[in-house]
Amino acid sequence: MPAATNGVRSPGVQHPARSPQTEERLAARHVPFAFEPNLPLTELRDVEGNQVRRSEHRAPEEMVERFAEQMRNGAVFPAIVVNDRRELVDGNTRWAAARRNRRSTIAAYVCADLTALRARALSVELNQSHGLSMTQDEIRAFVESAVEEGQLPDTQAYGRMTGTKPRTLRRWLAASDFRKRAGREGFAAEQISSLSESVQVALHQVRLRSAFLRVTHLAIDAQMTAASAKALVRDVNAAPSETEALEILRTARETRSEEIRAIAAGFRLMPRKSLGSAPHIAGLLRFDAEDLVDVAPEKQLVAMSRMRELHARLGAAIEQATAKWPQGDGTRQTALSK
Amino acid sequence: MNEREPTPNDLPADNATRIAIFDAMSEAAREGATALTLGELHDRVIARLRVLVPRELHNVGEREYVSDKAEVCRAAGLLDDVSGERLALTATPPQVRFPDERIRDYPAGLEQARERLDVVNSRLRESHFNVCNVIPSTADAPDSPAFRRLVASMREHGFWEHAAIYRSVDGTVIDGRARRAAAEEAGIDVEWFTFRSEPDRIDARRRDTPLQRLLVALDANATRLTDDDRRHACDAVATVAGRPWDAIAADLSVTRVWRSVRPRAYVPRFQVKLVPLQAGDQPRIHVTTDGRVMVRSLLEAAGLADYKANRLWEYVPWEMGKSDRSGGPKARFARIADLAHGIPTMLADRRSTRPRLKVEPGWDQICVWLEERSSEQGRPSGAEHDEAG
Repeated sequence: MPAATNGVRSPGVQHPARSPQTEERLAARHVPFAFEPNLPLTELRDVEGNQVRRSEHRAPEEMVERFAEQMRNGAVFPAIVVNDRRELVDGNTRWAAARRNRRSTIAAYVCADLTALRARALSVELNQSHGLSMTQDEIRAFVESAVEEGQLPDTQAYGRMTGTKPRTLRRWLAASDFRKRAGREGFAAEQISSLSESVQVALHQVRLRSAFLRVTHLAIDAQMTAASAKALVRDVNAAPSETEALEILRTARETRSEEIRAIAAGFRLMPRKSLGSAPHIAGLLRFDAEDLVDVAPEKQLVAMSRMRELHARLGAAIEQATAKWPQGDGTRQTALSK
Repeated sequence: MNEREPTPNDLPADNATRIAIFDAMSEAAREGATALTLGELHDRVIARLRVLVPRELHNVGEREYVSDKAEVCRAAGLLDDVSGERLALTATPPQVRFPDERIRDYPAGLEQARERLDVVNSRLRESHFNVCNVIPSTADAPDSPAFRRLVASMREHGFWEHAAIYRSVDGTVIDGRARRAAAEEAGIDVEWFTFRSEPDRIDARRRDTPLQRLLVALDANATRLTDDDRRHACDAVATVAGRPWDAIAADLSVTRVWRSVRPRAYVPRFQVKLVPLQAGDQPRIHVTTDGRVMVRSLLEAAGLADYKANRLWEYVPWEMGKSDRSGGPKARFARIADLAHGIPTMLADRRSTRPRLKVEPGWDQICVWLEERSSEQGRPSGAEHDEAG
């Protein structure tokens, strides 16, 4: 509901400092505002927290100089945005440029009844739509702090506001929720930060409290990758009972015991050689027998020789696995085999 | 609530942080913890500070910032040391600037209450909550004796001007549905409420939230609504908002003064010099140092009546302000460059629609004067810049 106050009378004539883009955003957020073409600079208040930007990004010197030069040469800039206490919401560079030119007034949108949180959200949105966009870190800090303050994590709305994909926002929020949850359960900040963000997001999906505690300990101790954490969490959540879920975790810890001991001693185990072979086996499994023998005549001899060699090696591997692996008969499917 | 006369920049720049600390301590006190260690205070206030002062926390460090500000609050008399290293509130609250520019004592929880009400209003808007659907109207039963009496009264006396109906910006009638329906049936025009001034209109718009509409509807119909009606309306809001009505009512109570004050109206006062229309004339045209003209003074200098400018506002952007050389009412100011372009366009349009129209010579004098001033000033204004920071 834009205010038709000073500066406009008909659609054809508009004050040059009015910004339809800003007015549209204010109206969309149901922020009542009045356009004030001549707000005295002395009325503006520089208070802590008016800006979501961190200081190194705030009103960069060269940008201020450029704006000031343009102002001196008659350019009219879009109005800045202030709250009804004349505290700046958006327009640091324009304000700085106006002060540099010793101007006495500046055009401003005076927004009524903005809470600190709404002012912050508005500041983020306006910053993203013009001038120097906020960095990912700044956006993330804002989104996380807003949610921490009890705001609803509407990722679509925040995505629109910040220009960040809703999927990315959901990942940030899940990781943030995990950190809070783990903190409440007594995990130290250093332990939590040793987990990658993807692992944190995966672990946050665990529903049972007892399972969450164990799987988080395991992920920290074994420095699990995101893929293995996701697979383990999937199995734990799919377990028909808490006892079964905890059994899965007990087995997983046993399986990784060697790795956990090595990490605790300050070492990391060498990567397993199967990391290289597993994708090739998975690749071969995509082919039926007919596919494997569909070979050009001139290459059939070589192909036959390789398949025989492969057959022999796989046979030997299966024999060894049957003898050594506890679930080597292949009848038990758990997280360990994934 | 104590009040002080407004003084520019009377409040410290870190006032929002002081208030956040005060709120955190007040909440702890309500929970029975009347004194907190610095660490406990940090844990209670840091989430709020991350929203309020992200830049300062980033630059100083979270622990250091909270520690510094606790010290500031102690120096300002808001906090006091008790039992070793614990901090407690004193009887002195922080202060806050209300929208009317007055500085008052800060009522504990005001900021969070405002934010919670914001959330409630957002949810009501998102769900297209219409207060008219939850408040019964006499118009709901057109055959009822009450409505028939209203129609008969309209036919007898017409629509009472003093009972004009207020229509919101979006056209919603919150109070007066029965009068509107009765007027329609009686075939008479509805008296719509009009604001006496622009500040009145802006203030009404500021307060026009879904919750405010509910309060208006409940209060305006207080004599005819039953307790059940009121409870039904409040429960409907609570259901959409996802909060108990008692909690919403408590927030409304905390924010009552804040919501009811009226933001200070502002009229800029321009520094001007007086300029003659022609050499030898008395200097009477008010021109600001940055090339804006008080249009009324320009027309008067050219011997034109004030109302002649009315057509002009469709062609020239203007600003309201006062001149420091006259004690008169607010007047419209326009940039010389915009007038130099807008007035000839207006005159050309008028001549094209009415070819035999005689244009007062004063306009030509004004055009000559504007042309001279424009060329003195150099480049015209209005070069918009679409990148801003």
